[in-house]
This record gives sequence, C-alpha cells and structure tokens, in this order.
Amino acid sequence: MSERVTVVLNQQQRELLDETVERFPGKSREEVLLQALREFCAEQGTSTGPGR
Amino acid sequence: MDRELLYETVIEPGTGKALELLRGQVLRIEQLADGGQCADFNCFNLHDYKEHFHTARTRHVHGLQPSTGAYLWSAPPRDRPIAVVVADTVGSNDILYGRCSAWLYDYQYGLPVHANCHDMQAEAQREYGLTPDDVHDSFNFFMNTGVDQEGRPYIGPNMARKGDYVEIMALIDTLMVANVCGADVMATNNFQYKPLRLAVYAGAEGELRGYESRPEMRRLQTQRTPEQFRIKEVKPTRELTRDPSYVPDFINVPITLADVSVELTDEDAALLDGLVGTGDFGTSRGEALRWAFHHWWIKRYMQGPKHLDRESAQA
Repeated sequence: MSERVTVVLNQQQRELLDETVERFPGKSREEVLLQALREFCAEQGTSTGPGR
Repeated sequence: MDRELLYETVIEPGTGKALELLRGQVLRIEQLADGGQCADFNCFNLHDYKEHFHTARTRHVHGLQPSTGAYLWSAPPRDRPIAVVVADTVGSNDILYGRCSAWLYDYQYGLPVHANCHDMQAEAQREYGLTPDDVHDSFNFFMNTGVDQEGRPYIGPNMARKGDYVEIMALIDTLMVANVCGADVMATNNFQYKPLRLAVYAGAEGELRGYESRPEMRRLQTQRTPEQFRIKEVKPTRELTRDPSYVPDFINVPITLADVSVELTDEDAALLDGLVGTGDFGTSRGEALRWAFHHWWIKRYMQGPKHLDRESAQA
C-alpha cells in the first residue's frame, strides 16, 4: 500500500519548484520532488554531508 | 601585460592615498624595499560614495582570500562588481580581518598613539570630503591569513617580496584608497613597515570587455540604485528620529505556507526514513524531502559558489 508525505513549502519555494517542473516537460511536481529525492540520495555516498 | 602608465606615487609608512580610477583604468599596488607589506584598501563609486566595496558579499562569492579574477562587490542593495583583481603575483590576500584602528593598539598593546589603517584611510579620504565614519571594511592585499581547525582566524607571515604586485581594474568610475598597513606589532607586515608604489594605468578595452562579459556582471533588477529607494537622499543629520508617517511595506509578505502532497513508493519511503535517521535532514519525511529537493536543486542549477559543503564551496 502506498503512503503519502506532505511537504510544506512557502510561496517562494513553490515558485522554485514550479520553475523546476518546467525544466522537465511532462513531469508533475510530485515526480520532480521524487526524482530530486532519488538523485540526492544516490549522491550522498560521495558527498561530505550537509552544510552547517 | 604592457600598460600605459598614467600616474605613479609612493606611499610611505603611516600614509595612504586616494586616487580616482575611471572605468577600465588599473591600479597597481607594488612591493618596494624588502616587500612583506600589506596594503589596506577602500573603494567607492566616484559618483555616489554611499556605494562602496563590501567585504561580506565578496567573501560570499569569492571566499576568504580573493585573488586574480575576483570581483570587488558593492554592498546590498547595490550588489554589483565595482572592480576586479586582474593580476596578483602572490595570491595571499585577506577580506576576513577588519582594519586596525587606534583603539586596537591602545587596548591590545597600550599604545594610544600609533599609526593605524583606519586613521590613514580617513585622512586620505578627507581629500574627497569623506569623514572617518565613511571608511569601510578593507580589502587587505598581501595579508596572509587563514582559519584554524577550531574556526579561529590567524595571521601568518607576509609572503610578498620586492616587485610583487596586485592590479585592480575599475569597472565603474571609482575612488580607490590604499594605505600602508599600520600593523608593525603583529605578523601582518613581518614586524616592519615598508613603502608601497601605487601606479595608475590605462585599461585595455578588450580586457575590460572580458571581465564585463562574465555571468556575475549580468544586470538584474535586484541590483538596486538610489532611484529605486523610498528615501533617495543621503541623510543630512546624525540624530535618528522616528517618521510618524511611516507605514511598513515589506516585500513579498505575508509569507504563506502550503502543503504539497506526494505519493511514495516503499523505496521512496525508505529513502526518506534513511535521511531522517541520519539526523541531518530534518525530523520528518516531509522535512527530509524538502531538504533533498533544495540540496538537489542547488547542486544542479544555482549559480556561483554553492556553500553546501567543503567540496561545493570550492566550485
């Protein structure tokens, strides 16, 4: 059974997300967020970690 | 590069000099004698002194030790390159430390009368009607500094030798002010003052165009000018008094929040749980997904240094 997660974004963050969605014709907000998640996690193995 | 010399002078220890450099002209600051001398440096828009070099924006874009190719940015809301380092034979500069001042030598050394960069800058700038309050944080050319493992800044030996120089090209009409750094009781100048040569050269149009064509030079509406300010005039009095007619008018408010709902596969849910489990990416799946999206976006699309981690900060 699938689960849902809620991401809270302010209007400026939503604008950034919507502009990003335009870079991926045919994809939805959800699909872009999940693509970002998968690619981010794939890169974590080579990253030195989050900024502090 | 061969340049046409327009003017030259030598600034002796304890002194500085303000020079007008029009767009495209180049100031060379050159080591004489034994070298090892830091030059503190201020830079103003010649036609609007309220716009001037800003160490913080320059640090943000170019790091703590800018060298050849680094722009000298003006302060927000102007936020634009007003000059650029076009040559640097040492590569050891500082925009972390503040200028030395009379108080510093009095408090730290018990020397109430002592040459210092603030007073030298103020005296040199007085030639153009500026006051001691107008001296701004300095670009410290040839100052060898760093940050240790505990995050504390330190001053190392000055590595400049006789004949070493930096060259700064004006990207707008500027007033550039250099002084012989007043630090003789710290390592900044290897514990001895030396004179510096200042030379102004005509610029090369092709070189100027090259620096003006870089992405950082693209003009944006957010690089504001006084014509866009609600108060356009320079404040004429020192006293601060409240404007009873003031009504707040902040931009883009209220900041509103909205939910974006995302359906997860088991694999995606596991990825988010993994991120939350690290403790570095928020405390919920939603926070972790927001973190992941923005981090991903910055790595792919953000211009300039990304400030995510040690590796990307050097990009």
